[in-house]
Amino acid sequence: MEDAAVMDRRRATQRRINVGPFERLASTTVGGILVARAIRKRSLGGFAEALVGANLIYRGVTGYCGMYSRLGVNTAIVNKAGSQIDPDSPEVRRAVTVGRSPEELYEFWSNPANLARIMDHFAEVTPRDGALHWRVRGPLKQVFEWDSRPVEEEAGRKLSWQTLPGGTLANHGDVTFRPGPNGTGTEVTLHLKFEPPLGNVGKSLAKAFRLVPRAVVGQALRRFKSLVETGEIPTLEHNPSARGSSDTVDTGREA
Amino acid sequence: MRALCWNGVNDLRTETVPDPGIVNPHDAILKVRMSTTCGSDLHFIGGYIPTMRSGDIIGHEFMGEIVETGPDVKKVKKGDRVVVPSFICCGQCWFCQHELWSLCDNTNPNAEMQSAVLGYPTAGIYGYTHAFGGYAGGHAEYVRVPHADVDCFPVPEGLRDEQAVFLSDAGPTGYMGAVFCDIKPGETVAVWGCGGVGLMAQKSALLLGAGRVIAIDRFPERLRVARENVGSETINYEEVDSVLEALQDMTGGRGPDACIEAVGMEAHGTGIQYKYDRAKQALRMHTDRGDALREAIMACRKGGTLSIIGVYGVMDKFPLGVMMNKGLTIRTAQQHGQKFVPKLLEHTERGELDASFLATHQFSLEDGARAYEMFKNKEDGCLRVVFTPHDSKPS
Repeated sequence: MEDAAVMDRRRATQRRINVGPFERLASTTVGGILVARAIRKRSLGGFAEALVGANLIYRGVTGYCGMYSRLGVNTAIVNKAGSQIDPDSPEVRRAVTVGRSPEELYEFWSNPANLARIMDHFAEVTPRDGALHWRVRGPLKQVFEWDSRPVEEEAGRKLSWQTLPGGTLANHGDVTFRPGPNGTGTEVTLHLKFEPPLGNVGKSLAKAFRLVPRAVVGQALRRFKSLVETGEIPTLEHNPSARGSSDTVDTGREA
Repeated sequence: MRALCWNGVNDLRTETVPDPGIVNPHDAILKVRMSTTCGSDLHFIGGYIPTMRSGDIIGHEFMGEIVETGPDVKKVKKGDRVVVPSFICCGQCWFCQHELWSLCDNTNPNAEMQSAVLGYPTAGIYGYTHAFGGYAGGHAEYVRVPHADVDCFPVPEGLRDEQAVFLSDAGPTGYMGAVFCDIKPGETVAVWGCGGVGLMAQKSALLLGAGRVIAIDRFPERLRVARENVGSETINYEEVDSVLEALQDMTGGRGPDACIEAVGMEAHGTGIQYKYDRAKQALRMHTDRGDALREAIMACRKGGTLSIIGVYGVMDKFPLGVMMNKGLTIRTAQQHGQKFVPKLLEHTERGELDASFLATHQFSLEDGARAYEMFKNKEDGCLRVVFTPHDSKPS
């Protein structure tokens, strides 16, 4: 249940986004380059460039373009099968094809030690009293914790779980393993749905999680695939540079 | 250790950075014996490709000696002198198993970031932006090589370092470009670009049975190398009214059977289209200048093959209709090096290929920034600079 004020604000927010996700990325990147150049120049031409750049960044970050609005253009609308998610009730579904049998992958996923490695880019997962304890740092430095337990198992095909009462972020999810065509392996689909609690805390949690799920879930699947297929996960740990000796992978997890 | 680092647009510096170490079980640490500049580095040095971070170690074309291996490395060993292709490949995924190596699914730690732009991720590359993996590059004393058994190719004893180093990228990229042309004996192949990759493509086309190779560039020095070291015929596009007409004159009006584009996003040209591209690129409104590519599409014979091995970002004013109406076959990829390196090593051992003529200049890593300036501006006939990171004497 959502109160009327939340609904209204959501509609208002959605109405303001009229730039599609790729265009927002491009807009932010190009804007950033322009501003960086302009700052170095420190001239009138540079100032004009900075204005253009700042506008592009604004457009990229907010997803709102004044000119599009006046022209009635909206590049943010995608069909239901697209990647847009309801920001107040984050739900995400991602798939990857892995070159192993469903049974093998089912067993690999069921092992808590493997799951801990797969999820290590965003969560600490530890077995606790027949359940799994999850500890996640949000992008705004909050810590979310919950325990999950299996609710349904279809041997070799599907695993699903949900959180126990008392966690800071209720969620449920499932992973399915389906044979792919022509010996491509197994199509693995991971589905997660978060249920933010009501009230102000819930709103801020939802806001925090809006940034997270798609990339984090996609990353988890890629890590799973790499670990199964190659026995290791690609990493930039201890990657040398003039910045020091490590590069964290950019998935929204705070170090 | 010392390493050549990118610190911002047109700002390279040689710095002291931490040494790499074994992180994953299939890793090896390579003591870099020789590395080389690549034209595609100029794209991010000039700021045309995003997602570099200040402090990144650059360089993706290198060879060296294995000094340490992870517990699961079985085939190569400490002491081996090896050449390493620029794309990092696992050897296990569907793409590696199908010899589409640069599309490997398991080596890009930033796959999610890159997928937002490309739809699907590529393999990781050494020293070539964070979208392409963020791995530290080879213009350094040491470099970590993941999946060493798949990605390290032992160099036969008789071969010199400067013969082997270009088999990391320029060699296999050029060779792949020629393979894409599916050359029948005696056919004519035109190649745009006489840099390292273009010259290797020309040489490869001849090795694969082309009757004639016609090279197009504007630097007399490079065109001379194409004639003398490779055996190509040449066109200086600044000295003819029209490359299209020149090619038609040379081929009885048919046009080349296949065209290889080995220039990429910072092409130069002479006409109004070039000025348009240059202006838009300067304003960062698009990333690519496409004169060479457009010319190749126009000049290729009807039903011919266009092989694109230059590196591109986003380009507009693309003559899709010319391609479509002439029924061209387009082949393109980043290098599937692991497929071609063994072949190139064989050709080199048999004396049919010697890529060492590309190494026109040798520099200490300490003079890395100066070396890239020289390479970019083609000063003193510079084709490629090679670095010997463990030789600290400035040259």
